[in-house]
Amino acid sequence: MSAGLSPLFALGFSSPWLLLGIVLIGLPVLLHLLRRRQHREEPFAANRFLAEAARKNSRRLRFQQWLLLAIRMLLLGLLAISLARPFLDSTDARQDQTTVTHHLLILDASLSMRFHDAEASRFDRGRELLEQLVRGSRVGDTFRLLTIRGARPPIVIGQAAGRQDDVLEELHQLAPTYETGDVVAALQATIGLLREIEHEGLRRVSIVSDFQQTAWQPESSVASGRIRESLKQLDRLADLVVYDVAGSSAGNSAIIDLNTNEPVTVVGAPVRVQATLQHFGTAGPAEQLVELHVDGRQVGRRKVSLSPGQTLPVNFSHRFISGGEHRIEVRLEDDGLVEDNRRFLAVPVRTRLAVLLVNGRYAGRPEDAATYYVSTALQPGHEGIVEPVTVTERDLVREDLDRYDCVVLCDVAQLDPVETGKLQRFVSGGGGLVIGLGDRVQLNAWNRLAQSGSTPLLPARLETAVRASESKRGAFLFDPQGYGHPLLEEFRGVEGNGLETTLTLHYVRSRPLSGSRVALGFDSGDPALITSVVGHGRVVLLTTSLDSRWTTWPVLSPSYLPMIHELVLFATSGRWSQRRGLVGDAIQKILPSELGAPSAEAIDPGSVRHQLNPRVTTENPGVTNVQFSETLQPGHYRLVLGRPVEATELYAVNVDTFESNLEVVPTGDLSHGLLAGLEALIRTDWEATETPSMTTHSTDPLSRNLLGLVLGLLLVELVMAWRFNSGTWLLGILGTGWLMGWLLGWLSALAVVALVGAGWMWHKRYRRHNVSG
Amino acid sequence: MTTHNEVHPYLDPAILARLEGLSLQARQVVEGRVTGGHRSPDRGFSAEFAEHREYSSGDDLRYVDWKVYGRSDRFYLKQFEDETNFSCWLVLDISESMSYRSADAPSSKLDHARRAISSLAWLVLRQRDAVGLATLSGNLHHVLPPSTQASHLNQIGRLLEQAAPTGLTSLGTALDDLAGRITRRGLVLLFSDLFDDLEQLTAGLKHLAWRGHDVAVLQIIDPAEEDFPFEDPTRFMGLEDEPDQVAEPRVLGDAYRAEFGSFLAEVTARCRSLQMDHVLLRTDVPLETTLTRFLENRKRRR
Repeated sequence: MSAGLSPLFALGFSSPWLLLGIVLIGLPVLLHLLRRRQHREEPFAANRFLAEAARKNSRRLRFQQWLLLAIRMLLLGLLAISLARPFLDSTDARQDQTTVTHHLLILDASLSMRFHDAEASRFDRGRELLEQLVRGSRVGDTFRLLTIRGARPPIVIGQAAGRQDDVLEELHQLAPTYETGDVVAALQATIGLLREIEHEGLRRVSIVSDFQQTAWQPESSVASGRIRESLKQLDRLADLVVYDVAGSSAGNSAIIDLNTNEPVTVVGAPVRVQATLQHFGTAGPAEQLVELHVDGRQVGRRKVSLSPGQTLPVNFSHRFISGGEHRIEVRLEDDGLVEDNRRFLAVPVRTRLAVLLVNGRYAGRPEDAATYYVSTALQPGHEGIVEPVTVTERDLVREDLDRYDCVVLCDVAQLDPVETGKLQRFVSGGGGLVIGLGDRVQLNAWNRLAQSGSTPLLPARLETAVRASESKRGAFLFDPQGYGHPLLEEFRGVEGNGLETTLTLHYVRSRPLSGSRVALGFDSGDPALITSVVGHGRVVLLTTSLDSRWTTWPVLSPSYLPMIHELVLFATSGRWSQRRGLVGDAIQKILPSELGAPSAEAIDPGSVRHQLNPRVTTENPGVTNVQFSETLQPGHYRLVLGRPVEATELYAVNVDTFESNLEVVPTGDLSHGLLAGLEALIRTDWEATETPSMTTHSTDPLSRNLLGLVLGLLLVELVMAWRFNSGTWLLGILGTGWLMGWLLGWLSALAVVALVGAGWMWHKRYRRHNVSG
Repeated sequence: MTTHNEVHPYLDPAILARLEGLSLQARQVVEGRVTGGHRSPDRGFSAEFAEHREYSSGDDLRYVDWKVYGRSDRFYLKQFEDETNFSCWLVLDISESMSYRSADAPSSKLDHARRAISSLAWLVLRQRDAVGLATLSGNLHHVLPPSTQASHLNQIGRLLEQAAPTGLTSLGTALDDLAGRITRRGLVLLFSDLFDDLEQLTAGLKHLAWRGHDVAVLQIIDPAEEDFPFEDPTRFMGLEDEPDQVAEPRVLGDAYRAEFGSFLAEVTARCRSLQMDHVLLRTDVPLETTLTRFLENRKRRR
């Protein structure tokens, strides 16, 4: 803090309001006046002598009374002043003797603070430190409390709290979160609070954290720059004290990911559950036990060897024997930070998958229908659970889309606004949409879909039809572009999968919209398969036809059948992929607004029920939004929807393993890196002597001297009121003693001790002499 | 002699018992009507020869000293020292200040004086001397002429009883007045707190002394007047029309005691210069003690 131009010495008070006690100096005058009226009466014969004595001594008496009154007033005034605890403030001593201190306490409550060594967790250490700080503070100090956390606002106590008990109570109720700490948010909130402080006094910001590296020194230079800039601002506005409570650091293992290989899980089919483990740190146990729990029952167990720094996928295979919502949990052996050793997955297991095929071409023969090959490909069913239903273009508007998981549009000429709206809601709510083109498709009409709304249904702009004659080869081949897209995962590394040998004669050149992704291209460089995410659903656009009109794919390629399944499952998987999130992310469910607003509640992992309030959002009036934001702990959450939906959905919430790396910024690096150039104190423990505002009363020399003076004057006053002359003598003796005291104090004390000792010795000898005599 | 307790409320048998063996003696020559135990100014005819004087016609021939006539042929009469009785005047100050009685005092100054006077009157009458009583404050109130009659004690008692405290002290004029009325030289005992102008008092006393009276001053004071034992701030209400005085005894006590002490010292000095006895009777000191000492002192100094 810049001291500015201030006087060399200034008198200040720690408890200035106690100066009001100065009005007490009027008390002796008041008592004097009152006592004048309260004289007892006494007849007396010798009044003439009394009058004579009073006349002769009047000047002396008046002087004595004035002196006594002055001593009494001085006594009370000094008492009030010394109770107000004055201090001499000099520019150099500013740090040592302060007025009121406004404390802003920042306690890191992020996930890494949960790390528990042999003694205590980092969070407990930090909290204890702050409790010490609060207890050691002076009367009149104020406190504001903030936490470093992710989901919720960081301010715990925003209005200055003056009572220590209140602050201690708030501290006591604080608990570490499961969130990634948002350091910048906390620091900026602190700056905001600092600027709100209007009262005089020292401002002190105490940051208690483990200074976990990824949070405090993020790799992104923008993020780390913002942290550094915030710290600089804090340093300009207040005294900054940084407490590093990381303690001993250790390695940590975590499950950083958990998923299943299938986009849609069905009853009876084997599902591969893959957990990805990572070992952070440099040393740690080599062998780790990994367990798979399904619906609370352990179903798999594996021992893995995990070396420092390694990322290791661990696979389990499981077969669900019933449909519905299933809970999957993978557990890793406990270590210092147990919260990231569990990971959760919610798996809806389907017993059937309803697919609506919309035929855009009227034909006499079934095989001429645009949906013929898709229908045939889906007919055997995926383990018998896919149920394709074919309707004509005209019937689409009458279909209840909520009965379906996926809609496949085959050579549909155009969509009217009602159909568009219906499909938009269907996809936004998590439904899948697969679009295949053909002769009947009116490009302009479809392109209007690409322009509509913030999330257009069509993932690309359709430009011109491209014919095989434009190709040198006479046909176009698929280009899998390295099989990078999840859609092609099944084909990756499979020899003779037939994908690359498929001949396409005709397609529509398309330009993907931003946010869309090309899964498969043509060797001409134009995209063949484009995917996009609309709301919670997924859309897949095939720029050629799904039947044999424009391509030989359905007829000649072995890849057609698996690809159709993959397309349907991929498009449908949008509905399930939203079933997991991180701590702090909202659980959201989109319902068509025709259903009205069902009652809804969320049940958290601790079985606590939270009533929800489904709402129609203004930006999308067609849907009802059910949202639950209080996902503050990891685990399985249950979303229960009442009538007319009548459904229960399971959601998995996991911790962000961003802070699983327990490596902290070393204390040495703090001063040279993060806090370089700042006047911040770096501490690892609370130390009363080094935190100036916590000096105790007894070390306040000015008020101690004043209290001594008050005691001396009190004695003088008592004696003086009894015998004025004795009081005067005492005043003289005390005054001289006070002046000489500090010089002769020790000598006098020694002399007194010697005298007492000698007297005791003499007493003993005398007694012995007497006894023997 | 019987005590007169039933008719004389101020006679205390305990005091009388202590005074039993004592007597009040005049220290100088006093005049009496009958032969008594005191030196008389009249040369009478008694056993103790004093001097001769020449015969003049009408003298009693019994006292002619014939031996001198034989030697010198002149008639000389033998004169003997006459031992006479004397009149003792008990003078009581009944001014208002005498009514004062502090909280710790056993009686008021006036009562104390009354008892002292009664006891001494009894003593004087017992030794067959005459005793008279005068009460005074601003002036002379009552005068009971001296008498040797035993019944006189009762009259003294009645007068004492009737003497209510009244008026201002003005001893000087009252004593002057009294001195004019007492014709025969005698013993005058003044009972007063002497809270008066000392110059006037001295003048009055001088007048008495000039008349040849043997004067003793028995100053009666209350213990509170000498010790000033008060603690709390007090409004002291003056007697005899003196103004009230508000004082803080803790502050003013020493000064008052010094002032009172110098007053007593002044009284003592003045009495000494007039060759008068001065006795201090504190009302908290038993009367028999002070009176016994007074009487014994007088006897010793005679």
